[in-house]
Amino acid sequence: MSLTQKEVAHYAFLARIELDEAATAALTEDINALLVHLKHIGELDLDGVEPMTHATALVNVTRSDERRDSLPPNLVFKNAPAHEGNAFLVPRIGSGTEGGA
Amino acid sequence: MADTRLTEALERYEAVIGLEIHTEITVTQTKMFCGCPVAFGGEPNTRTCPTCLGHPGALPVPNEEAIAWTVLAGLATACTIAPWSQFHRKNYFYPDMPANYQISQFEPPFCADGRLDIELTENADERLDVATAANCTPLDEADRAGGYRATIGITRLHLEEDTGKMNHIGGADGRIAGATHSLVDFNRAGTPLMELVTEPDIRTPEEARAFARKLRLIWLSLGVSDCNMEEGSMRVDANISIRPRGVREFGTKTELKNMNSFKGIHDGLAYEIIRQAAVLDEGGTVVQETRHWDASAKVTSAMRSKETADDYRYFPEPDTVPFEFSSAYVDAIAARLPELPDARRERITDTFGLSMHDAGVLAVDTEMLAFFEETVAAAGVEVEGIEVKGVAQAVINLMLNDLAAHLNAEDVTLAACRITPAHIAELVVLVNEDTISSKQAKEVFAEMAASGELPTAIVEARGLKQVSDTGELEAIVDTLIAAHEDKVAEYRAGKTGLLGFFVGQVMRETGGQANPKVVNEILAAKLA
Ligand SMILES: [Zn+2]
Repeated sequence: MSLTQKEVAHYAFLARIELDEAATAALTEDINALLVHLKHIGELDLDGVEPMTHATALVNVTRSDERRDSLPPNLVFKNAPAHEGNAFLVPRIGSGTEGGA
Repeated sequence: MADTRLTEALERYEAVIGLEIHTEITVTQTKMFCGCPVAFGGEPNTRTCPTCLGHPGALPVPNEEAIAWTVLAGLATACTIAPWSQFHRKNYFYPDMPANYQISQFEPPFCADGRLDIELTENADERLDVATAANCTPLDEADRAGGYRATIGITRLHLEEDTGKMNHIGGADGRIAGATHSLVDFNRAGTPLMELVTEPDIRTPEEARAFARKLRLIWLSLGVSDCNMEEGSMRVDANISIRPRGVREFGTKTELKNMNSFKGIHDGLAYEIIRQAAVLDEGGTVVQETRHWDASAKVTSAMRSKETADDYRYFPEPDTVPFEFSSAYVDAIAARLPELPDARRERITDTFGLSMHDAGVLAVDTEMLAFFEETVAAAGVEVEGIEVKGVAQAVINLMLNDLAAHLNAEDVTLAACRITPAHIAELVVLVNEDTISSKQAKEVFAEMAASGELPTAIVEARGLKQVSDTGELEAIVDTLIAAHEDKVAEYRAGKTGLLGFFVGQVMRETGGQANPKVVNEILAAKLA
């Protein structure tokens, strides 16, 4: 299987990644090379092999419930396109959408 | 009594309801994946860091306490704890989640396959099939005639992070429609959030409310959350569909949000049942959508079309590693389980011989229970059996009637009120020993509530003692019999209703202080 440049542009849109045409073309080539690799894996007999989700065998990595300093206000908004007072400002939200998950 | 429009709709259609209840873990010091403090309100965005602001490259590390509390919550709701589990990313684009995904759980959740028993006494008539439904048992007549117990399955209980808070500017009532822009506060973002999903076992709005109430009591007794519905630390959403009675397949469901009070849960679902029934009655079809309950307008309105699970493109969270819960780990958490409301109620019933209803009131109110236990002890009851039952019943009657009415009328809390366990105990002893009548006890109660004086002092000062002296009362009765020979003759001829007349006369003679029990005994003997 391979992806068309149009499909890659669509996924970039879904992921809110801005790509120009040259970047889309380069990425399409890279992704298709990866897909060839996946195709090889797909040809192996993997019956009885549990799917793996992580590259390490670590489990139960947690932290203790201890406070750490939060960011000072000047850093909180440093990367934000816009803010109003102490709140992030976002443009009007598209039609018919209300409420998060 | 249930709303007649609801009853009418439920006679023809059966409602199928499942709940999705989000509860913030407010007991931890810090958020789910970062060290920012967990708190409510405050200056926006002052409790944020690169992790809870979703900055690329920030590494989320799970809070071990939040996980332990979730396992405890799962054990308290009879869930099985997964031996192996992990976090997933739930992908969606919305400004309340700046990473563009929420760290949540897919399969398997930390806890699954639980259940909760609820008891329905209010609006029990909303359920029409108590006798035949597999998950229902009628309550004992003695306890609550017409009430029933229902077992509701819990599909899963998982742990995730809460989102930020959006404030829509320029629209009506802070809603998105008509808004020009929105302000986002990420103080709440990353707060540990438990999501509990029930099986579609709920059949009436009252059952939904009872489930939410019961769950809240359990969470409160664990201490996992403050469960403040107004502040949003406990949020109840519902899936609801209706089907004609006798039909097995499910109707199209709507998802109901914004029912941020127990009344809202009941009224929102009742409205939705009536609305869906009207749509089907007109030959229409219910549209699968999310609807918003407006408590002041008392209507639900459409929000957005429901996304399917696939749209979230769940995949295992690569930034955190899986969890393996050993049985030793789960056992250690199980050892932390406190006495839960049902067990506590049973203990109170067994110890004090109270009805399930009275015991139930105490079981869910730690302050009331402490007051009650202290009062019974102060009343000096050490004998088991009948004695303790009588005193305990007298104490609970005073607490649930006179004391509750007083607190309500004065708008004070039990802690702030003048009446202490010592007051109630003395009053109960005075009545129990026939020093004062229960009618006089009312008077003493009013006085002690107003002045804070102890009952014995009030009785002394007011000369309220009840006359139980047999000799004194016998003399009064003899005089009465002599003065009313005609009435005595009528009584003896069978007009026994005249007993009341004689009792009244004795009361008048004694200024209302005669012990009615003793008077009745003497009259019965002398008039025979
Ligand atoms: Zn943070």
